[in-house]
Amino acid sequence: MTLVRRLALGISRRVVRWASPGCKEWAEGLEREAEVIESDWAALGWAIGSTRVLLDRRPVSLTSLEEVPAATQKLVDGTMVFGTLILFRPVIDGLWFLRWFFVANSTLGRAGCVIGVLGSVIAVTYLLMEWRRLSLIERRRLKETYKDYIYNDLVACAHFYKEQLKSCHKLWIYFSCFLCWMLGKLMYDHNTHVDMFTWVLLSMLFIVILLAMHLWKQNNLRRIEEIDALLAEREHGAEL
Amino acid sequence: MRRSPQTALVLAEFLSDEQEWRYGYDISRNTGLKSGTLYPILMRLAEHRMLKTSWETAETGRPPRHMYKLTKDGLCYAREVVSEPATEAVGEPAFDGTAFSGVGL
Repeated sequence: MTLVRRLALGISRRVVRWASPGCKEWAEGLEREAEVIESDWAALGWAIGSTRVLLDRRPVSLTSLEEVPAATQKLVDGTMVFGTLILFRPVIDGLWFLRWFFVANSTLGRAGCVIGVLGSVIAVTYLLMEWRRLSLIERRRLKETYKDYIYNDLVACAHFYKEQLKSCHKLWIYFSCFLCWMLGKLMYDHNTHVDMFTWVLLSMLFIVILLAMHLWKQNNLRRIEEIDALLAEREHGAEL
Repeated sequence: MRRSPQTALVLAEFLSDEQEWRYGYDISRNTGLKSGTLYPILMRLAEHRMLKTSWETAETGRPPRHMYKLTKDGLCYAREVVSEPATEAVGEPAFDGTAFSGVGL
């Protein structure tokens, strides 16, 4: 085997290893093709092109409505844990900003604290609204008789899942609150020298958060489309 | 779904033999698309349930290959997309005088 061929196969194998769960099958398909391409250079070109699959981060696709309950369960459980964890953060941050407001020695510092408190108020309001939406009764029902409820009515479960996925899109509100906190903190600490490294680190953090949110949104939209297709299939099957 | 010229190329390729399962590399050769362009299109088609995928039954000593074929919905969509440029080319002129026929001009 030539060096070029070995390189091509090595790239293909790594693409399979690093591909997201939803793209694994495609990455394997690409790998098999690289193996059968006769020309070494063409195989290398093919393998390099296959790295494009790595940019697509997606979960495994839903193939039937029967898979929806498990996915719903996972999402609801995740939302509960995530919601509980992040509820404390804005409260604590808000209290800190309130404290700093009284000790700040400049107008700019106080303005920063006001922005910070505002971010916390928005975050807490948003989170409480979300919790209210998924009312206590529904949460109890989901926890106690969850399996009976969703396994007996797959269509209802699919609609519920869709609603949950749509509500995840509102996460940008939380991100804007995060921006308020950062801005508030920077304004409060305006006398403190912030070095270039910190700025670069902060910018990178924002970019990573934005990318993660975009990816999450894309995957949710994709999942919603999958559910719509499954529901349409079910409806079409019932009509026949 | 986005109707790019590359997607139209891939769909036209599938239409050349609707019943046959295709290999990725064959589609790539026939359409001139690189793997990095072709596979996202195939993935999008599969995501919209327009493309079926299958693994070739393994022969001894040879790993199975991934194969693709349009579904019924995919075939309808492909015909629609492929016929589109032709329709545009034979389209009516922008102004043929009939638009104002009812306004007394």
